[in-house]
Amino acid sequence: MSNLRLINETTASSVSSVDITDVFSADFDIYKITINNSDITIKDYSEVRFINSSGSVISASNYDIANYELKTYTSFGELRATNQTSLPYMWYSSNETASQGSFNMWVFNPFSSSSYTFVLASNGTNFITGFGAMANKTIGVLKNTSSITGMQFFPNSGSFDNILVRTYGLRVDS
Amino acid sequence: MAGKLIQVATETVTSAVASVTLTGIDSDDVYMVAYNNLKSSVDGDAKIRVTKSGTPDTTSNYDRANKILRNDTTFSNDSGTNETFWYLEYIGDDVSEASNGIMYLFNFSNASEYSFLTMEITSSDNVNPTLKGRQGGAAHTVASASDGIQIFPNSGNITAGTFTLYKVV
Repeated sequence: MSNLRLINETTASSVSSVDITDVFSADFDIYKITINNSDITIKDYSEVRFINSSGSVISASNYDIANYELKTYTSFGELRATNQTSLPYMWYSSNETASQGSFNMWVFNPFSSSSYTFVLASNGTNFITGFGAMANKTIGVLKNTSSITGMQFFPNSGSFDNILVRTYGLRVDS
Repeated sequence: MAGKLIQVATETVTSAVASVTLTGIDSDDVYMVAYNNLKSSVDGDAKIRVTKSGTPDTTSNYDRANKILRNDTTFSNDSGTNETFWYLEYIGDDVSEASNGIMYLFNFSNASEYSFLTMEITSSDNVNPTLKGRQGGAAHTVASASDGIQIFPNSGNITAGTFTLYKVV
């Protein structure tokens, strides 16, 4: 059996946000999240917020992020943000036919109440007609030691036409 | 990266140690190292070496090329050749400080090839304070088999962290 264990699979259509709840626990310290087929109604980045053990979405200004944009059509870009109310710039998408790429995110220490929650993310590529392809390499942190049990995905503007989120736990056998 | 992850070795640090060594690479599969909540007793860079028959190789054969991502200022390039280690990331022991990462290891067991590594690191430093990470690759330019890695701080001890080596099959 693989040490990468599927915990949750969520699909949604025509929604402004998707909450993935009760997926982070003491069973794992490291999680892998994949998103396929995230068409949104307009061209924009999607964002992430975490959900604490009380079920509340954390929207306090405690998120930092650094995102490296690798583009086929212009110079590479840098996106940096401090004390945000979410992790912005996670992946870029639209509802153009055949334009979607993939999104992969590792989450570290979410359930721990003694450490921050860290993120490593990469966006395979997307393709925007008239421009070209772009990939992203991203790091992020929630500067909060709350015990995190879930996450919320939402586009910066518009809504998800559809989205498929899979959450895996990376098992460590002692 | 498709396929299963099969655990090969793991170590969780609960009391201070000078280094962590993960060994058990014995096939030409790709291997993955995942670690979280790495802290050290003294603020400074964590470093990494390959091991040969369980012993870290300290010769000057470590090359690297990385992009440094951070939230407070312009990203930078970091590269080096013929050094005695690869850099992992700056660490400390404050509650706000920790390093976490995923690394893939290639050709380690092949005695006719160099050992290659890719890394994605996300960390925080309470001194600046800064979110900082490393994305890039590295090569150990010796055509001999490596069987693992050693992680160690620039000074002091590793005081926390869980480190696990998986085989990707």
